[in-house]
Amino acid sequence: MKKLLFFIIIISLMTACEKKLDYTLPQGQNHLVVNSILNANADTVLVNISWSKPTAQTLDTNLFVNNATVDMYEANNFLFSLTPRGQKGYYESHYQVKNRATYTIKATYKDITVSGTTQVPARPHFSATVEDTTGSLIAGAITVQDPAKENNFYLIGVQFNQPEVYDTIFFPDTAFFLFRFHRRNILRFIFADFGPIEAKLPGIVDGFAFADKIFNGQSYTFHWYAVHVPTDTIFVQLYAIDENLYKFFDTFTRSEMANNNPFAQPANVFTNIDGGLGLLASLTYSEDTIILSEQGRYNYAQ
Amino acid sequence: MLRFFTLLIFSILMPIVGAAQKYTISGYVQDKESGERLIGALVVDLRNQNFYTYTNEYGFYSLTLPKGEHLIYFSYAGYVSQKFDIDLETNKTINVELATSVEIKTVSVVAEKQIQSAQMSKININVGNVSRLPMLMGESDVLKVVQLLPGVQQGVEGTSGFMVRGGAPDQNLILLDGVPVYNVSHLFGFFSVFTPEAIKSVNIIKGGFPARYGGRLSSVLDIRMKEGNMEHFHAQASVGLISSKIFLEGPIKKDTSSFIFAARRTYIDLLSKPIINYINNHKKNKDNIITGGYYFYDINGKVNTKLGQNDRLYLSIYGGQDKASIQFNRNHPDYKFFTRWTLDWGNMISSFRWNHKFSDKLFANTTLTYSRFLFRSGIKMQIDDYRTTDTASSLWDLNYKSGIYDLGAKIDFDYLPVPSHKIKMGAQFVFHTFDPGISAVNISGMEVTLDTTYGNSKLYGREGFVYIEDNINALSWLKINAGFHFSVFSIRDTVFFSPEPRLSASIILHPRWSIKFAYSRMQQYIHLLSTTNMGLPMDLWLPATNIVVPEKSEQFAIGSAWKTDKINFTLEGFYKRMDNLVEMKEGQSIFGDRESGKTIGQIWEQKVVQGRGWSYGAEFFAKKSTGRFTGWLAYTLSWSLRQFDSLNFGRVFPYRYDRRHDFKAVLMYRANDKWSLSATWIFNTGIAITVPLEQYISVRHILYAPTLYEPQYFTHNTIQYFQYRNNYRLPPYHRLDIGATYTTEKKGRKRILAFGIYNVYNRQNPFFVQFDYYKNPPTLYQYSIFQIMPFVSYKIIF
Repeated sequence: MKKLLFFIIIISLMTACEKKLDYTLPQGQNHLVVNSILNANADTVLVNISWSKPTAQTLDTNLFVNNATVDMYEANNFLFSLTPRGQKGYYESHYQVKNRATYTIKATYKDITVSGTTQVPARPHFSATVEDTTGSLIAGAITVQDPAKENNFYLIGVQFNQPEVYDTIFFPDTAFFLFRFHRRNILRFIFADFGPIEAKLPGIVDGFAFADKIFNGQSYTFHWYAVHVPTDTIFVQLYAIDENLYKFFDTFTRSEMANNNPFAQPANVFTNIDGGLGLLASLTYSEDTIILSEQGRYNYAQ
Repeated sequence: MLRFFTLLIFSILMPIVGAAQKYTISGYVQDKESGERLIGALVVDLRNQNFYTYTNEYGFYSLTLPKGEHLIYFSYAGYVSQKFDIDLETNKTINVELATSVEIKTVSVVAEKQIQSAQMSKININVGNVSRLPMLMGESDVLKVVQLLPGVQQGVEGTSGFMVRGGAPDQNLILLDGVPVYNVSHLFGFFSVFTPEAIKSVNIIKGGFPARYGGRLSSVLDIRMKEGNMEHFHAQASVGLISSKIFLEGPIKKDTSSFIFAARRTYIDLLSKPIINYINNHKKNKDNIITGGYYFYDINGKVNTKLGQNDRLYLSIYGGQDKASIQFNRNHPDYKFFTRWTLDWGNMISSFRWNHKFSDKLFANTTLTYSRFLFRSGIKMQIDDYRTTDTASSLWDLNYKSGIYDLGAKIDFDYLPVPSHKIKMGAQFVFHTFDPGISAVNISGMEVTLDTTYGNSKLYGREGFVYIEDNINALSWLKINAGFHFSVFSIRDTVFFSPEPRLSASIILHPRWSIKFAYSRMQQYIHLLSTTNMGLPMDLWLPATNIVVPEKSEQFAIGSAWKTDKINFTLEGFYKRMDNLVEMKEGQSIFGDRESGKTIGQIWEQKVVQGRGWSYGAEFFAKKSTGRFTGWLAYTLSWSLRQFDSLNFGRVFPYRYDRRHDFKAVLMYRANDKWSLSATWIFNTGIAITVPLEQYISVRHILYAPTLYEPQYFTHNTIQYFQYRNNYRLPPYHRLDIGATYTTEKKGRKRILAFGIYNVYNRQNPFFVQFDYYKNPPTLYQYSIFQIMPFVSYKIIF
């Protein structure tokens, strides 16, 4: 009897299957897509222009728009037109955006004009420390000095040179955990791209974005804990990001969770391009590097 | 017109003021074998069929008649009817015992067909049929039978959740012996918590709600437990594919007190153990061991005792729990890593009830109730680091708990002054404690030590209502149920009021044919925060607040009922408007906010939006309850729409479970005393889901400019754009199930072997669908988990 029950259950459970569904949807209206992140620490403005495509179609390089007119404005004053670069929808100009300045990018292709606006945040201020420890954990602190009467948005990263031994970083103030098991965090792409960090950091990088609503106008210290590895190098970055980028991260993360969840309502990703899709955002950052020595002492390098 | 209403009101009130020379017969109607009180038994004077009544929830009836001779007839489906000639010269008490009928057709009498009540949109489920119908894995389930009724939709396949007339799952008031049950499902929704063996009656009301009910917008499912056999001891034991059950009932003191006890436990954990052990023993890497298990159980108990002729006490208790766990053990030369995830959730429900008969015309029921639903999850991690001289042990222990607790008191009166008025009135108060989540963190063995709790955000709500309703037998051709329900809810510093008029009327055009109307207004003070609508245990019950205000509805229904000698037909149309409906914002989850560290209990009000909805449609129901061949056909044509200012750009969109066509056929055939066959077929329009219409490359792609032509480039950098919510219909759902029962009886022991096949023609219905965004172009996949499945169960009754 037991064998019979066992057999029936196994047969029943094993019959589950996957089947590809044909779906014919009304073709979505194609939008012009503008993507750019203005970096106050860099001297180049890079913009990409492309088309959206119906979901059922294959995305290929044909979607890039290489002969659009892309103009940049500062506080509604025309600055310059960006120059097309290559055949991948890129437009660039050597220009360093200024902290706190407001920029608009307008892209025109045939009779379609789309635009987006961003205000570059002020450079953030912070301090990073690591406590002396000889145990299995290392404890650190990051103190953010938040300007008063402003809505500020940040992104913190704590990165290590020897990633394979780390299991978890814990930020107790936020009850936020970063599990490092094969995690592909969206934020690593940001860290990997801007500035010289990519060249210096071969290891896995993590981070998280947050708003200052819990400590507006005050200093606030985040604590973190991780497995202690002597002679490691720890890189701490604090990015000030504009609200557009914050909303993009927020909705992108939510959409990644919801859109792969068959029981949740899908979520759209934030866009601030009038008449089109995409994102125009801005950021700036400060960085601190901490080198651990064999003796358990620490050298701080700015 | 004015004269008409004056005459009508006069006709309605006249019997009360002119109640001279009348006497009352009253008493209880009960099962002859078991002493079980029968709910809804008909009591009618066959010489004047305008004089009739039904027994209430406790088997009590009261019928006031003119002085003189009467032929009183007692009838209940499945029982042999009884008639009494009485010469009424004084008030009389007549307690009646009805014997179960061997041939069901004998209960069909002319009188029953001619009795038309004002109530519409109400269906009584024959509990005896529940175990005869084919069910998933052979587990008899009352809620799965409810899903087979017109106007009731199932949610995700195989689950017990249901939607009524375009409403959401949390809009159903599910009562077990009058106590609300918050989580009605086991195993993530696949099985309900109700053990059929312990159930006495099931009624669902979809519209025209009597005033005694309130607090939910869409339906009332009233489930009553058995009371226990007053005469003899009986037992049932059954073995199924995934669970075993036992049911006991009998007298504690013959004819005075009785009890029931029912228990069920699954053994998925026991059956899966050999599989897990086999997998672990045959793995290449034996350093990583995974173990786990899952089971659920239910326990029902009830005792009752008579205290003289006029009083009776009941105590009923239900407890049920699901428990799941999974463990990972990793043995590495440098360290040992152990993780254990646990989940458990369950209800605890109890009620203490006192029936008191004040007089032949006044009956009271007083109830104290307690209902609790608790969900707990935990993660425990332990790392033993062998690299240090002394092995360093680090322990992380995180626990989360959420729940809802109700403590209530209720009093109901049945007052039957004259045959043409059956008045019910009463009041209820419930003290709600909402616990949307508290987390406990314990970290030890490290440089940092934490032992703290956070996120405690309990909310306390006070809900009360008073009601009065009158079932008026106004004229021979007009029946009315008019009532008024007034509810109050207070939370924090906010108080909500809701006056709710209720009206149902039936116009009898012909002894077999009536037309019915109903209007009801409802208000709901609690919401279920869910992203799945599946009835998952982590869904949260939360109160209306000054920010998330109560949900409201108004429902109009019109219908017609026609009875033939063998079949009852009903056709009903409905329109329901719902306001302040609650939905999660796009992309929100039922988890807390990572950046502020706040739990869901502290920020849930920011995660939801409110909007409106409306549904309308028509339901056809044909039911044959007598003879060897019984069953029903149910068809629903309906629309269910939603509009939220901050969802879908403010545009109207179809509700996820907006199913245009919904057809169900339930057929049962009793071939002889041994064999009984059954089949169910379901067809309904596919549910509406949201799929992306457009895709575009993300801003992240500019970070990858050098690798633009790599194949994986697009898959990791594409954003899906959803222009409209619920813009795609899944394929229609349909399924045929067949079953058979073989009954033998030896030495007073009945043995029932039930077997059958679920999803006979192996229809691949979608359990869920998912886009594979990593394919180019993205591909939509349907996953089906319940394909052709045989089942078998065995039951012994003695």
